Amino acid sequence: MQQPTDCPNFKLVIVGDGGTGKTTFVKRHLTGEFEKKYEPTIGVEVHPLDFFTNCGKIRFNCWDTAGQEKFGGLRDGYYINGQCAIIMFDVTARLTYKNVPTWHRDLCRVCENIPIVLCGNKVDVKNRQVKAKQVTFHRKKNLQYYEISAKSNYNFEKPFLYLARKLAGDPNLHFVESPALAPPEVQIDLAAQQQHEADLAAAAAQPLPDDDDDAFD
Amino acid sequence: MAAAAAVWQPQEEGFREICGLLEQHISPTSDQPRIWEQLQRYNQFPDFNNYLAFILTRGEGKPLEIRQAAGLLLKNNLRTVFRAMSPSYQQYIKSELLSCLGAPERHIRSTVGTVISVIVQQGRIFSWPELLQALLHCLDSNDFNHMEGALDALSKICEDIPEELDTDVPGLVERPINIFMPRLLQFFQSPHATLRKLSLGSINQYIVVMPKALHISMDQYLQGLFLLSNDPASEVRKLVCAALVQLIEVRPGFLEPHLRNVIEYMLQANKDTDDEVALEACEFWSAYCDGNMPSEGLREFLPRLIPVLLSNMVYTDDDEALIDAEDDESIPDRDEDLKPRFHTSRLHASENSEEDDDEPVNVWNLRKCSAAGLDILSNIFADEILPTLMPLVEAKLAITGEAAWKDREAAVLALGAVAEGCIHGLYPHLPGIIAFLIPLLDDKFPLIRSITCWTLSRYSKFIVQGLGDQGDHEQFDKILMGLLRRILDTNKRVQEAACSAFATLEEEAAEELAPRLEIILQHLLCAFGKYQRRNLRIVYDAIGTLADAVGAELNQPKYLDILMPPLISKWQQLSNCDKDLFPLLECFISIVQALGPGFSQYAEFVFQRCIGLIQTHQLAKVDPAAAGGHYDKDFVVYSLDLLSGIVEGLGGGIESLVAQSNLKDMLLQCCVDDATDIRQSAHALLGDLARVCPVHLHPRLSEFLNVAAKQLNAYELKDTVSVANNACWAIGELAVKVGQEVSPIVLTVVSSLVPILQSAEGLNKSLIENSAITLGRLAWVCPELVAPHMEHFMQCWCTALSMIRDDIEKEDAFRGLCAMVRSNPSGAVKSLAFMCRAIASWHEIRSHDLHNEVCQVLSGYKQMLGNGAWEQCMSTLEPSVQERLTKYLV
Repeated sequence: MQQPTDCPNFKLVIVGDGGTGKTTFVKRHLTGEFEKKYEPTIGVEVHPLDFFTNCGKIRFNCWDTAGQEKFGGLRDGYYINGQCAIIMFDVTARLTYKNVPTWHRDLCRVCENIPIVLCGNKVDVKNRQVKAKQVTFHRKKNLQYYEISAKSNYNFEKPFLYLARKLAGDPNLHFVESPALAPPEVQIDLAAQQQHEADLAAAAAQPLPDDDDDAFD
Repeated sequence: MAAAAAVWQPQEEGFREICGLLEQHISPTSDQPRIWEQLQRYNQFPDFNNYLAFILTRGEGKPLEIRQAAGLLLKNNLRTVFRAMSPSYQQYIKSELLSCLGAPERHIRSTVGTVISVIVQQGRIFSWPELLQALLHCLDSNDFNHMEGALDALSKICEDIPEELDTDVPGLVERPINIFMPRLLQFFQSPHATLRKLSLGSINQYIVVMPKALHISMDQYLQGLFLLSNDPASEVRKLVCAALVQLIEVRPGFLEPHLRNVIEYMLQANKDTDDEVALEACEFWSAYCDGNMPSEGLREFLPRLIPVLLSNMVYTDDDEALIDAEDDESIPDRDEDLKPRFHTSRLHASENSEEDDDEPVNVWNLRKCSAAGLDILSNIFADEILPTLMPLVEAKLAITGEAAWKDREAAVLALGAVAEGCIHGLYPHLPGIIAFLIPLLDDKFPLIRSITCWTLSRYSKFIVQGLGDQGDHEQFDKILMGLLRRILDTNKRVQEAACSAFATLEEEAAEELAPRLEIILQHLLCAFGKYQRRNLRIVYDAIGTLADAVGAELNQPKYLDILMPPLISKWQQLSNCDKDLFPLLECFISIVQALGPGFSQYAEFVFQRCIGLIQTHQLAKVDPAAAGGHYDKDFVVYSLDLLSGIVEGLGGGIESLVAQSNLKDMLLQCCVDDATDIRQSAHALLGDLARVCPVHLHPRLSEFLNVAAKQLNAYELKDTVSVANNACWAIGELAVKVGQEVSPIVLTVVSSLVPILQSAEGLNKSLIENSAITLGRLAWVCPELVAPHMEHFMQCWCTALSMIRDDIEKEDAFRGLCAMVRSNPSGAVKSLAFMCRAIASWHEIRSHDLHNEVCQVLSGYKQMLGNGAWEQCMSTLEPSVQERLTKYLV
């Protein structure tokens, strides 16, 4: 990966339960370097994503952390020196929203006072379980909230734009060109993804037991 | 590595290796899967966590990040393995952590605190008496690092597991929280802002739990809050506000003696220079009103509170909306601007549940919170707030000059916010208010134009309600024309606000719109021609809502000439795989419903296109290249639903189109599709076709019946309730049309319906109703097949029947009941009371012959049982049921 170059760099930490779509989201941006094939995130993957603003180029080094406990690696150890963050949940899985306070707490204990965006992903799925009006966590914690669809690209730029404005301290900052995004049609095969995750989980087997993954309600 | 010994010591090599691994681990460039595997390997060593503790607490000279990473990894490991660790290692780690509570580096202290809280969660407080001593020692040390480290650890325990400190600990006279509480309160007076913040934050965690320790210190706590209310640190002031808001929510009794002071303070905090403090304070008013506090307490403060709220409603310079407002209509929308939307497949049910499509609140800020507060106040105090509010609103509206546009905007927002709560007092002044607002629709600033649309929509409701009384259409017309003008705005946000306000007006006004249809349609279709994709969907919705609102009024050539050609030409431009078709198809579904038979001139075009769409996508599923696009099941679902709409709207008029098409073959394929949405819509269409032209289904009747019967398997019902619902209804519709021809599947279907009726409580109401009706219809058509099994289902079936309101379908079901009783009278004897209740559920049986049949059934049982048994059965029935039965017992 290129090291800090000609433009401001920010460490962006992306957290949230496994399967909420963090990796898919990051990989929609085509300047990030990545493989097309899906692999569940082990530990962390770092993708440099560039955006072009009216004040010049900025780069978010996105630390896409593993949501699954089993592949967590350092987990909050990756948050060290984070400058901004995205907490992702899946609007079709209630438990992933219920866990948002825990992700937020762990994040704030390592990174104090950084701008954070809460993202409700998968609004392209018909039977959502977390309705828009049930999302209230961000109100109490002064977070920005966006509904997104990593599948259709809906609102892709919004979290980055909000964070860029906060980091630059300039509410009028805007993107001057849209980043190249993977077309909505190119989708990761979900069944293959689940199979792959199951295989890896089986391989990882015993050493790191799962903790507090309550039964889905 | 070292074996368990009295004092564990790290080996130099292990220390170096693990530090190296951690260094790579937090570097963005390393090979994470390999490091992960290595970590897994290290985890096998029983003293790996000792190394991590050592690196965290004694890794002097190593970069802070490495030590912090070691600590966080330690914490994560301990969450799962702490309890299984050997006591000597537990002891080692615990004592290392305590020795570091006052470390000079803040990040180390904070990491130590995080680990400590996890150990307390895992090992309980009573098994770590040294922790309590160490914390007390640090708190009393008067050394900043030690005090801060201890408070940090304590605050994390209070946040994670507040109850744990409120438990008895063997060897301690007091519960831990009793010992800490006085010290925490003392820290309110610390010269260090960090310590004030940590101690206040710790106690705030106990407002909900309310242990005795806080209860008895309440006066001191409240005094402390007042002391900190003007703290120089904004974070401390924010916590003071949060504490008071939470107290008023969950423990208002404690605040009552101090209420005047608290309100005074909150008024002041609402004007805090720090937005977050002001926002936290602003929550107080809603919390006060939502709680059980007497509104009296707030009344005298209204003249001071309302101006504060109003001034906080003015947009701040960094509000996202300000930047979004510069959306020019000529810029095309991108894919990522389009929110995914869904179609609800057709469902044959007595009541359809409303889809919730609320817009999310992206950010909660002072403007929104203040407006919500004003709204709540207007609902509680109603017109009482007007003498304060109105002069302020008028004054703000009167400020001229470009710079003051945000003040004018806030005034319009305030008028909208109080529209419901204050309508009584405002009603006489509506002409004036509206006259004032209308010109603002043409304001230079787009956000004034859009907020004015919203505020007018809040009032148009009442104006529509008042139309009947006064017959004065002048104001209504002013609003209508004003909104229509804004629908053609050049700014996308204004277009959106105007369409949404207009939709509210449409729903309220319904048939009042009829005389103005021509001009409405002209505007909507003009917008249709110029909007970008995002707002185009909203216009479709507005047209659909209009059709729903005015119904058959739309069915006039002069209106259809405006409406239909652009829509049809749009459809002709879009390919069969273009998703922009979805809202158009949805719009057509509403139009068909409104026009009914009037739609016939467009029926052929629409019918053929729907068939074409289904064909294209059935092909695309297997061969996208040949189909010229990607498969998407929604095209099939929309097309099936639109076909259902046409069949329902045109009735027998559709027959020739069906006859000439291969619809029945295509439909059968859809009825067995993998996608539940498709099966759901397909079975709805099957039922609709059965009603109108069963003869065209006839060649494949037995296949349709078999497929529909398969949808009813009760064990698989969880995700497919709606499919089962429609299939069940379709079988009933077919049965009454084809009679005895359903006999091959009757018993299969009955044996699926009975378990549904028996487990009625957990299932959806509509499915129960349809099951009861269909069972009755099958019994009517084939009584000799169903009646022998009556005993198994009479009770649950009659219970379900008694919940259904009077209609034709219910008549069919009772014909089945009577037919079965004739065939097998003894089958209902044990369920006689249930049957009587079902009969009594009729308000009135309109059909004379059915009424007579029911009379015969009842008198038949009366004779059969003899007077004693009959009277006894009657006496178990509720008086209202007995009363209702009298009309059948002549």
